[in-house]
Amino acid sequence: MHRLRSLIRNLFRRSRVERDLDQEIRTYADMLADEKAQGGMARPEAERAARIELGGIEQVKEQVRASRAGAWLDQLAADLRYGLRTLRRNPGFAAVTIVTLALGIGANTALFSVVNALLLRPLPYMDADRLMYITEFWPHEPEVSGSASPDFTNWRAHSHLSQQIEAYGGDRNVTLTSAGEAERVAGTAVTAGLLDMIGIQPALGRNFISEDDRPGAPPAVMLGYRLWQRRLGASADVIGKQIEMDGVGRTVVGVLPASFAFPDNNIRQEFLFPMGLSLEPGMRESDFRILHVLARRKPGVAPEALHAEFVELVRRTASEEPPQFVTMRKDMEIRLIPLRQWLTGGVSRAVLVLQAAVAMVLLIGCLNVANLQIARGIARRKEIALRTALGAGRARITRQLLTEGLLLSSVGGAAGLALGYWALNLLRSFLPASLHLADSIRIDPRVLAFTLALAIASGVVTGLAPVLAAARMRLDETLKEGSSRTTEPGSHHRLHRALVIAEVAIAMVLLAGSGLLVRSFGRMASLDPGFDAEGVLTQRVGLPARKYATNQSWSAFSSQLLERAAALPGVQNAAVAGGLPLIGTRSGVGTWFEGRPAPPPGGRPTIPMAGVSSDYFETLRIPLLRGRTFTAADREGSPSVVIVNQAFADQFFPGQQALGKNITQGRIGQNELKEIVGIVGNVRQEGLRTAAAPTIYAPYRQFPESEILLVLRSSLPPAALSTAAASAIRAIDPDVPVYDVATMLDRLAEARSTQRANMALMGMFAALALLLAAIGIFGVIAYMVNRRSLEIGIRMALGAQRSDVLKMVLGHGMILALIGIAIGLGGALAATRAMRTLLFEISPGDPSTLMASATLFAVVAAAACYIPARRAVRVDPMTTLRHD
Amino acid sequence: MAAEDLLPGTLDLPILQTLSLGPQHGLGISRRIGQITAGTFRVMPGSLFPVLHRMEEQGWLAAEWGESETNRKAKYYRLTKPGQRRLGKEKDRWDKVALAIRSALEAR
Repeated sequence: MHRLRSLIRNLFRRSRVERDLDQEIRTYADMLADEKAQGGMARPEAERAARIELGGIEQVKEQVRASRAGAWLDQLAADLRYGLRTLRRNPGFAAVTIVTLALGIGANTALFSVVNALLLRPLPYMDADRLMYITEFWPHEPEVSGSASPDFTNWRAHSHLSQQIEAYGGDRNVTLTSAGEAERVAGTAVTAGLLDMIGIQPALGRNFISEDDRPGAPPAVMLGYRLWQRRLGASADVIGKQIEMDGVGRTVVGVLPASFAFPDNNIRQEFLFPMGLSLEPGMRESDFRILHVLARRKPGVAPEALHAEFVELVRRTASEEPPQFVTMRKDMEIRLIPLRQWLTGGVSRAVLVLQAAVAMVLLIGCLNVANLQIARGIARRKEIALRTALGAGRARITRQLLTEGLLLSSVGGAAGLALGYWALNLLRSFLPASLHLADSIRIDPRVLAFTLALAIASGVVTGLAPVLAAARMRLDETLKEGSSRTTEPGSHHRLHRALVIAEVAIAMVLLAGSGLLVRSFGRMASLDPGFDAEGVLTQRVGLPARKYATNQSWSAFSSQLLERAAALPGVQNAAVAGGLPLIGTRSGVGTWFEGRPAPPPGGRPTIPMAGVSSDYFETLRIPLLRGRTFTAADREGSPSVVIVNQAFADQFFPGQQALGKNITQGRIGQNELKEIVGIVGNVRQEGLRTAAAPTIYAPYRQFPESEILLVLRSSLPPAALSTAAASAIRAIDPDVPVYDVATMLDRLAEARSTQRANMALMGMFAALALLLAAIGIFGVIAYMVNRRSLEIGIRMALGAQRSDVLKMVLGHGMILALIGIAIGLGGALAATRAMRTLLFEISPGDPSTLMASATLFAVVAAAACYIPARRAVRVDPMTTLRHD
Repeated sequence: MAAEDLLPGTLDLPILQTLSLGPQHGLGISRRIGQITAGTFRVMPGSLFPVLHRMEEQGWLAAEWGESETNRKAKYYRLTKPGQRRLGKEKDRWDKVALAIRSALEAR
C-alpha cells in the first residue's frame, strides 16, 4: 500500500521528490562540514573533506533513485528520452538502421505469413493430420496420380487401419442452361461421405447421402457458393429444385459454404455431384475408373502401417482381376501422401528456401547495424565514461544501450510490419494461382508474435554489440585520452572484421542461390518450346453433351467453326485441335504396331493423342520433318492416317523409318490400322519442365472430340479477335459456351511464372543482401580510413605515394571481402543443394554460376572499398598532422 | 567495518533501533550507529540513504523537515507503528540467528 502510494508520488511528483532528495543530501554534506569545522578544520578544507567522505552527491542520489519504487519505469523513461535525443543527433544513423531493419523484418513477416498459411496453420478440414491422399503410380510415370476404382472399393471394404476412405474425381464440364445464358461450369464427382469425412457442413441444405450415390439414383447436385450466388441469386428455396445441366435435370440438395476449398489444388469446381460408383468390392471392367482417394488413418496408426495394409490388399485381389489389368498394374506402386503435403508439395520447398533467404537478409542487416553501433560505441566512449563517472553502474549503461537498440528495432519492426502487410499481395501474386491455401495468407496473431520476436531479437543483437565494445573499455584511460584518433584495442577491429566477413559470406550464399535461379530462368526462357507463340490466340469450345451426342455432330461443328474462323478478317491460319502445347491433350490411346508380336494384355503403351485440323501445324509453326500434313481428304471413311512427333519415331522406331508404318489402336484383335503419314517436330506438350513425350495427331474428322480448342494466328489484337471469334461461334449455335481464352504468349508466360517468381523473389533478396554487405564493407573501410587518417598523413608526409595508400586501403577491404566470398562459396555449395527441385536444367553447384556470382560480388566489394580509399588519398598530410 | 560488508539488509536493524529512541536526521543516524557499535559500523551515505528511502516507502519510517541543532534544514525520520512492529520482528530474527551461530561456534 505504501509502496503503491510511493510509486504514484515518485511518478507524478517527480520534481518535488527530486528537490527533497537534493536538499537532504546537501544538508548531510553541510552538517558533515559543520562537524569537521567544529573539530578545528578551516571551513573550505572541512567542506572538501566532507565531499570526499560523502563520495559524490550525484552518485548518492543515483543510488537512492535506483532503490525507489518504480525505479525501473523511471529509468526506462530516462533511457528512452536519452536514446531519442541521441538518435535525433544522429538522424543518418537512425534512418539507415530503421530502414535496414524495416526491410529485413518486413520481408520476413511477409514470407512467414506464407509459411504460416501453407505449413503451420491447421488445414481447414477436420482432423487433417490423419488425412492421407492415396495414389497409385508406375515408377516410370511418377507424376501421374490417381488410384484405380477396384482398389478403392477393395480398400474401403477391407481396410482395418483406416477409419474412412472416400474418393473424388471424374471431372465433368457441363453446360448450365437454366436461369440465364448458357454457361460452361466445371463439376467434380465425389463419393457421398467425402464432405462428412473432411468435416465440411453445407451452408444450406444437406451433404450427399448414400442414397444419392447409388448407381442409377436420381441425379443430385451440390452447388458451390459462388455459382449459387451468381446463377441462382443466392435464393434459399433453391433446395429441392431442379436445375438443367447438359439437358439433364438435377435436384439441388445443398449449397457448399463460401469458405470451402476442395482438398485438391487441381480442383476449383463450381458444383459437386455423386459419383454413382458401385461400392461393391470386386473388379468390373465397365466400372473401371481412375479416382482420387482420401483416407483417414485411425488414431495411432502410422502411415507406413496403412501403406503396408493397402499394398497387401491389392496383392490379394490381383488373382480375381482380368489378365489385362494384372499386366497393366504389375509394377504399380502405392504412395500415401499426407494431405498437407499433397496441398502444398509444389511450393513448400520454394517457400522454405525463400524464408531462409530473407532470414539471412535480416541477419546481414543486424550485423550491419551492429557494426555501425560498434563504430558509434567507440566514438561514444567518452560519453559513456562520463556517465559512469556520474554514478551510472555498468548494468545501467548496458540497459541504456539495449534500450537504444530496442527503440530502433521497434520502430524498424513497426515499419517492417507495414511493409510486410503491403508485400503480402505482391507475394500472393507470385504463388501459383491454383494453390487453395494461398487464399488464407494473412497476418494473424502468430505472424504478429513472430514479427515482435524478430524486432526484439534484432534490438538485442544491435544493442548488445556496443555493450560488448563498451565492456572492454577502461574508464580512466578513456577520459585521459586526448586524441580521438589514437589506435584502439585490437579487439574492436577483430569484432568489426569478423562481422563484415560473416555478412559477406551470408550474402554470397544468397547471391549464388539467386544466380542459379537466374540461370534456370534464362534456360527456360531461351528454351525452344517447339512452336511459335507470337500472334496466336486460343480458346476452348465445349459442346453440350445432350445436343452434340455423336461423333458426326462433333466433326460437323468443327468443320463449320473452321470455315467461319478462317473467313474472319485478319486471320492468317485457323485450326481446331483436341490438345495444345503446354496444356496437353485430352485423350490417351492404347497403341501398338503392325507386325510386332502382340503385347501381353494391358501391356500396350498409352500415348497422348489429339485430333487436329489440317492447318494446325502451320498455325503453331510446328515444323513438318517428313511426309505430309493432313488434308481435307483425310475424313470419315477415308483410310485412317496419323502424324507422330519426332519423340514417337525415336522411341518406337529407333534407327528405322517410321514414315509409312502402321499403328494399331482400339480393341485388341480388332486391328484398326492407321498409317503414319508425317513426322513433326517435338513440342513441350505437358508444360515446359517436361521434355516432349511421344504424341500422336489424327485428323479431327477421324478422331472427333467434344471439347476442342480453336487456334487462330493473326496480326489483330487478341481482344478484338476473340470477340469476333466468339460471335462467329454464337452464330453457329448460341448454346455453345466459349471459355479459357488466352494467347499462346500468355500460356507461355504462365508456364514460366513459377520459375520467374522464384527468380524474382530470390533476386530481390540477394540484391538486398549484396547492398547491405556492400554498405557493411564501406562502413568498415570508411571508419578505418577515418581512424587512421593520422597514420596515413604521416605515411604521406614521409613520402608514400597516393597509389600506395590506395593500394593499402583497397587491399585491407578486399582481404575481408575475399575471405567472406570464399567462406560463402563453401556455404553455397552446401546450401544450394536444398534448391535442386527449384532449378531448371542446371545443377546446384554449377561452377560457372558460382564463379560469376563471386566475381560480381568482388567487383561490388571493390567499389565499396574504393570510395573511402579515394577519400584517404585526398588527405592533406599537413591538415591531419596539425589537427591535434 | 563499512556497513556494506555486512549481510544485505543488516543495516535495517540498527537504523530502526536508533530511531526507536526518537526522530533523527541522516547524519545523526549515521553517527549514532557509529557510537552504539563502538565504531564497528561506519555507515556511508551511499548505503544509508537508499535504505532510509526504501523503509520510508515501505511505511516503516515517516519523515518531515525540521531544524537541526546547527540551524540547518534537515529531514528527520521517525519510527511509525508498522516500523515498531518491524523492529520487534527484526530483533527476534536477529536473536535467533545470533543464538544459532553462537551454538554452532561453541559446539564440540
